[in-house]
Amino acid sequence: MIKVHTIPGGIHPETHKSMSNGSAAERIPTPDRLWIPVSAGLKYESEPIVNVGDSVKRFTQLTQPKHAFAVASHSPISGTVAAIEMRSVVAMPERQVLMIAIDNDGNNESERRAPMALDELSGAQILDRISRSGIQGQGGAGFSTQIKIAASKQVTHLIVNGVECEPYITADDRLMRDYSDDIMLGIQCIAKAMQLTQITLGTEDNKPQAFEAMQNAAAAANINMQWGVVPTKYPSGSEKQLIQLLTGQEVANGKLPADLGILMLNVGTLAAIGRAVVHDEPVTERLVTITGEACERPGNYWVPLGTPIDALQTFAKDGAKAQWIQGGPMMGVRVTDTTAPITQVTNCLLIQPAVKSTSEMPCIRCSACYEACPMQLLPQQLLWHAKSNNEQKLKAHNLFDCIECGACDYVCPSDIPLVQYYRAAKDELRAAESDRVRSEHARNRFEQRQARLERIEQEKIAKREARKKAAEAKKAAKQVDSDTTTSDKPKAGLLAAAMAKAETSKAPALSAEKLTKQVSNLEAQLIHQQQLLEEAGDDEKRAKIDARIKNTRIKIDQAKAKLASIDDQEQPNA
Amino acid sequence: MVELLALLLLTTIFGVVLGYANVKYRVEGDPVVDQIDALLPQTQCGQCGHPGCRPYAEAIASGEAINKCPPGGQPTINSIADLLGVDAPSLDEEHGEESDIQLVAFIDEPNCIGCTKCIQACPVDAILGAAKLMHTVIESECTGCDLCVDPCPTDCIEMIPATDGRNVARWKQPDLIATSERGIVHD
Repeated sequence: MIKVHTIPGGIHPETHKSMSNGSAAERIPTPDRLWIPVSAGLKYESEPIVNVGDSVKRFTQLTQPKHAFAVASHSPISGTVAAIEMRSVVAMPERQVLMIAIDNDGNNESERRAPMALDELSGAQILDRISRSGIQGQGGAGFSTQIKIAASKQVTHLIVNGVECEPYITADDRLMRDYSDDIMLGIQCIAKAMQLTQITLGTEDNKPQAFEAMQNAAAAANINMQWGVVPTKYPSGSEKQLIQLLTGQEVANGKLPADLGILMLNVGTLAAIGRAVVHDEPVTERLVTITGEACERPGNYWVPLGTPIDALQTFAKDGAKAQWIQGGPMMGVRVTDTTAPITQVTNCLLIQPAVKSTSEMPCIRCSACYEACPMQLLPQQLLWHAKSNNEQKLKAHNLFDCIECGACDYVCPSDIPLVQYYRAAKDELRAAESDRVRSEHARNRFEQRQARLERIEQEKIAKREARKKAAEAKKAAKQVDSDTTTSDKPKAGLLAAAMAKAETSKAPALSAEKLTKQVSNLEAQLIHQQQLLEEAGDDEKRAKIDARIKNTRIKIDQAKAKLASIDDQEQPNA
Repeated sequence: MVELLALLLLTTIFGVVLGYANVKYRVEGDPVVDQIDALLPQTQCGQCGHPGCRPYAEAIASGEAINKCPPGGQPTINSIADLLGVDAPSLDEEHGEESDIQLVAFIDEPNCIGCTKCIQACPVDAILGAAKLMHTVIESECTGCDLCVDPCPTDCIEMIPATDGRNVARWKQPDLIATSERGIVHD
C-alpha cells in the first residue's frame, strides 16, 4: 500500500454500482448484422480493405489506418460484407462516418491465430502485436494505445487504472474480478517491452473484491506491484487526477504523463493488450455495463464491436420512453440514433427513465462549480466567455485544460449544463483555428500565384525589351556597314557611284587644256563627217550624217563656251 | 527671457526626438490592412467586387462597407467591426448569401476536355492539369470561390460540399444528457 495524496475539487454522487456488479459478465447473442466504423477514432482516418460481398472470418482485418493515430478494425464475427456506407454515430445524427456492415453467417469461424508464450516474444514483437491489433484506450477517450506507448519512450512507471469512478459503471470492476489473468498478462507485456521498473495499481476503496482478485493474480503471476487505494470520489479515475493521487505530482499545462516518466493504462486496455500479444487476438469485443433505472437486467455483457444499440433494446424496461446514454451519467452522451454501433469507447450504456428536464436557470455566482472543479478552473467565467464565444478569454482561462468530467454540472444549483457549453466552445475554437490555418494557407498560395504571374509578365516584358534592343542594334550595325561599303545596299550604292562618276567627269571639263584638245578633236570629227556627207549617196545616210554633224557642232559650241568661261575666270587673276 | 529660452530649448529637443523617431520607427504600409486581411477568409472569390481579399482589406481601411464578404459571413463582419470599433451591420445580400456548408469545386472528369480555362481562373492554384489532359481539383487547396465554374466550356465543374473535415458536425450549445443520479435530462 502506498500513501495516497489528495486532489482539489471533486464530488461524491451516489455510485449505483451494486445494480450491475453482482454477477459475472455474460455474453449477448450475436446480432445478425454488425456495423463497424471504418475510422474507429472518428477523427483519424482509416480506409476499408474489404469489398461488399467478401466473406470474412472472425479477426479478419477490415480497415487499414491512413493516419498515424488511426487504428485498424477487425471483424468480430464470421460472415459477409453486406454494405459499406455512411451512417450516423451515437451522439450526433449530423456527423456521418463510413461504416462496414457484416452479416453474421452463424458459423463462428475464426482466422488462424499464432499464440505465443510471453517468454518467447521480444520487446519489439510485443509492440508489433499491439500495433496491429487495433487497440484503443478502453477507459473512454479512445486514444490509440500504440501511439500512447510510442510517445512514452522514457517511461519507467506504469500506473494501472482500475479506479472507475463514474457512477453506475462496473465494467472495470467486473473485469478485475473475473479477468485479472488477462490484465496481468497485459502488465507483463508492457513491463517487458518497455523495461519498466515500477508498476502501481490504482483503484477505489469501493471495489474490495476487485482489489483482492488483482492482488491474488499478481502473486500468482509473480509480479511485484505497488497498491494504491484511493477514497471514492469523482473524478479520481481521470488520468491527471489519479497521477496526482498516487504520486503527488501534477501534470503541468501542456505536458503529458510521459514527461513525468509515467504511462497510465486502463485495466480494460491492459486485458486487451494481454489477449492481443499472447493469444494474437485483435480487439473485436468489449465489456459493456448495461444498467440504469429503466434497465431490465442490469449487468456487464461482452458485446461484439459494431453491435447496433437497437439490438440491445430488450434491456430497456419501457423501450419507447427510455432515455439511452452512452457512457456514464457524468461524461456520457445522449444516444440520438439507436442504429449507431457499440465501439471500443462504449464502457457503459445507461438506460434512464425519460424525465421532463428542468430548464437552465441563470448563474447566481455561487462558485460551487469552482469548488468542485478538479482542474481548478473557473467554470462560471468559462461559461460567460463560452456563451459569448470570446476566444481570447477562453484561452486565457485554459478552456482546453477542462477534462469535461461534469462535476460543475452536478453541483450547479441552476442546472446549467456547463460542460456542454465547454464542449461546444472547444469545437468552435478548434474550428476557428483550422479555418485560420486554412485561410493562411490560401493567402500564401494566392500571393505566390500573384507573384508568379507578375514574374512571368516581367519576364515577357524583359524579353520584348531585349528583342527590341537587339533589333535596334542590328539596324545600327547595318547603317555603319553601308557607310563603308557600297556593295551592301544596291540602290544607294549605285546612286553614290553615279554621283562620284559625275564628279570625276566634270572635273576634266574644267581644265582648259583638255577642253581645247576636245574642241580640236571635235573639229577633226566634224571635217571627217562633212567628207562622209559628200560621199554619201542616198538621202537616208545623208540625214543620219547630218544629225551627227549637228550633234558634233553643238558639242564644239559647248566646249568652246566652257573654254571661254574658264578664260573669263582666269583673266581677272592674270 | 529665460522662460522663452527654456521653451525654445524644449521645443527644439522634442522636435529632434520626434523627427528621429519618425525616421527610425517608421511603419511601412498600413498595419490596419494587415489586421483586416487576417480576418478575411482568403477565398479570393471576388464577390465583394475586389480582385482578392487583400484589395478588399485595403478598401475597408479606406472606408468601404465591411459587410460585403459572403464566405466570411456574419462572424467575419463581427470581428472586423470589433477591430475597427464600429457597429456590425448584417451581410449585404447583394454580394451573395452566407452558406452553412463549405463548398468545393468538383470536376466531372469524363466531361473535361482539358482546356485549362479553369486552371487560369483558380486564384489559389488548386486545379491540376495540362492542355488537352484531364483536370482535377485538389480538394484540400480549394477555397470554394466558384471562379472556375463560369469559364468551363463544357459545364463539367460543380460545387459540392467539402468532405475533408470542413463540414464535420460540431457540438452545439447546450444539449445535455442526464447528470448524476437525479436522472435529469436537459433538452
